[in-house]
Amino acid sequence: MGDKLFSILVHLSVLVIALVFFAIVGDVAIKGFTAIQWDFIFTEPSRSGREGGVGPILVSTFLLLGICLSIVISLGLGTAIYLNEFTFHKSKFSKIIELSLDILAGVPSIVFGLFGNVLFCKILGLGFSILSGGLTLACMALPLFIRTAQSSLRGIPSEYRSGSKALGFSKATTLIKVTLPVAIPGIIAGLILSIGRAMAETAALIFTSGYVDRMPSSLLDSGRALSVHIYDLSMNISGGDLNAYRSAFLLIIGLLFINFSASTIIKKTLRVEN
Amino acid sequence: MFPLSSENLLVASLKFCAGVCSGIVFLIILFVANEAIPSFTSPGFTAFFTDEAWYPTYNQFNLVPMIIGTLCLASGAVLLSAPLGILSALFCHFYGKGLTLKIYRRIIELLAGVPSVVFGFWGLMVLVPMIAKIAQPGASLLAGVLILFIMILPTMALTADVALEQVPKSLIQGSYALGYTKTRTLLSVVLPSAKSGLAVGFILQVGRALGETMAVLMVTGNVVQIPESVFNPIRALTSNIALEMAYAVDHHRSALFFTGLILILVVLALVLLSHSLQRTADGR
Amino acid sequence: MLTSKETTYPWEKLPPKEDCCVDKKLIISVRNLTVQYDKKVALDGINLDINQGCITALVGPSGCGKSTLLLTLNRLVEEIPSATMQGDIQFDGKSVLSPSTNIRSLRSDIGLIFQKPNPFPFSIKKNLTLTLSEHGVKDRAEQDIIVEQSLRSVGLWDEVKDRLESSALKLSGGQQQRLCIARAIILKPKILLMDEPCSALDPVSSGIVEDLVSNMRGQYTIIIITHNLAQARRISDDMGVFWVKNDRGVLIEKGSTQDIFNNPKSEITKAYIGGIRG
Repeated sequence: MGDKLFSILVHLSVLVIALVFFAIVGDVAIKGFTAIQWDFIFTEPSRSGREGGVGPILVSTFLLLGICLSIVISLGLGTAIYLNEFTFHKSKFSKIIELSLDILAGVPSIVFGLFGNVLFCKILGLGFSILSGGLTLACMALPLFIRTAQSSLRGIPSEYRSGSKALGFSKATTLIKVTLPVAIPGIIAGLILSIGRAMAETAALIFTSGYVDRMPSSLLDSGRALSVHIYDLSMNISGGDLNAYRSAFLLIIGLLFINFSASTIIKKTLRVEN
Repeated sequence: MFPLSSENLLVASLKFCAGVCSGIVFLIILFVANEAIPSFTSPGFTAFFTDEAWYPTYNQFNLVPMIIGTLCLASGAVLLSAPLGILSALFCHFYGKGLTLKIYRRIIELLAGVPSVVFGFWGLMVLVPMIAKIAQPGASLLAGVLILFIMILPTMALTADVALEQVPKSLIQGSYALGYTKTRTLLSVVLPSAKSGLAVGFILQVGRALGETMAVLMVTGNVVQIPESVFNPIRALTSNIALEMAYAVDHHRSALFFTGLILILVVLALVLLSHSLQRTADGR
Repeated sequence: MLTSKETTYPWEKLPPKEDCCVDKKLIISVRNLTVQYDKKVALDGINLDINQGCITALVGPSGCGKSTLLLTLNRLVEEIPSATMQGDIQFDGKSVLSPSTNIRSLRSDIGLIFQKPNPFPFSIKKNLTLTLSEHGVKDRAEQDIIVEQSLRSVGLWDEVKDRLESSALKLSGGQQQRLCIARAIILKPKILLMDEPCSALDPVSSGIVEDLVSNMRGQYTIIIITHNLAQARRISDDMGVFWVKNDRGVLIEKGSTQDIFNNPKSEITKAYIGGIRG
């Protein structure tokens, strides 16, 4: 009897979660999809975004992500490789790095905004710009990427490494010719997830890349990210709801696509390894 | 000796990457603290708790209502999402199967990827008007708790899922072999042995709930007050930064950085706590 | 030689091996070798000579330092951070443990075959060509010739020649192990170290690999760890018996396989060898 009740409870909560998902995604998808047209993606916003499209905003968003990505790949991959291949888990240095990354992963995004505002906008003199925003996003996305890259490196059987060393391969060769090629799908999946994280971010961008919704002419121009656009339209612009729905729809589609491809890659590699 | 030196170069540059990455968090603390320091002398540390109210233009910086607001939001959201997250993980391991389970897992993953601004937007468009029908103005503590709860839930479910995976299968079979019912096995064997993993996930979600900005900002109404009922609008610490940073100068600005510093330190404490929990769990 | 599997009953006296290493030239001599992992002494004062072209079997219970000895011979033990070494290993007139030793050429001279076959998760061919390129053979045509030779010499060519580009992980365990041997001998090593190369394989594959090893006698110097005394008896010329004394790995007896099986000197050896009689 107790079993039956508990089972009902479990299934009920699962049902609630699924319903919430469909309520949110469904609402945004239906209202956004029915209203969206192709030219929304390409045209400039007008009347503070009430009318027109999101062309320049998408460009800014991609530029932000591009900067974020290039930093995350170089610094993050280097760190993940260092932590996993060139240091031992007991070493003090690696422990400090791991701890600091865990803290970094927990820092609230608004605090990243404060930090980016001081360091990139003020001290480095980049002002409210796509560059400042992209760098701030990179700081945020790094821990997530390093973690996934690390776990994909850790998943490589140690026999490959010892086999490679027994054949007289140098550490660099072992890394570049053996370890990395095997880990690459997992690393790509991690990268995709980090893009998703960066693309979803709003609070850290308000005070770093700013609000300007014109087409950026350089990386030092202020540019408005899609998420900031949704926030601005729904909170500060009366009559911006419809375009906010359209933008939210675009953002969700982008993110669903990103998460879907990441988990597909991860599952595919798991299958190959088995 | 050539390959040796290029190898040293490789290790050195990797070490450099690692150093930079771990340096970021120290830089953040350093810069935020540096901007917050002026507020320690004036208005002074105690002023944040004893000033009349939050009137930054009149140099009154009482943070108490916002601290209370943040705590109400976070505790409400976490207390709601923890049991539901655990139930969801139980479903994934002991009830669901086949296609249903596959689809459900995907749903949770996707829900975890929905950006907070979209949660906030949906809350503003759908949830707030619904609450407004019960009690005006709609944008309220309740709306904030519910949105935050929905936001945290998927990650909570995913971490609980991972924690349950660590429970040895032999333990479960042993419990069944003793004739325990399924419910009893789950509640008295599975959950207790997964408790440190669950606790770590729980703690990290507390950190996320305290630090969330956009979703909360969009649905709580942002009135600086100590809530008397769940239908009162409130303002969270994070929302306060987002709302006022744009025009804050001098003391006001450093008061906002002080808020940021508090948030970092709380997160720091939570991460250290979860680390030590993990360590005791591993040690055992 | 090819029918080394002709039944030898354990209770028969072991006849002398057909001699292909008559002149008994030393290729490796280990002197007073002690290896420690932190405080744990894995090998304590080992003295051992290895004859060129012979198969030397190392036997003994688990944890007595046999694998550590192999890893020390090609200095792979250095990859374990807590390991420290004392003593001397002479190989080809050079000191293996000296800091000036070129590890890369040392490891191509002394190949190592692991217990579990460990081909890289690439194509069969790439497993070999990658190894060649890394050691300076970059010409495609030359690579192709060497690949074929080495696969032939491990008896794998006919089995895989039509699928050189398919993943090495799709091969059976025995084929994988032979590919690993091919990958090691492609570097023209003088010595092959083998750490229980048959124990992770099914009986049939194990037999094939064992035949391969015993056919390589004379051509390569082979040092093989085995827990299978019957195997040691079948294929080896010389033996070293390891044991754990006071938590330290020691070499309690060494000599020709014939001597050790027929007249073991130490009581422990007698009992250990006796295990296969009774």
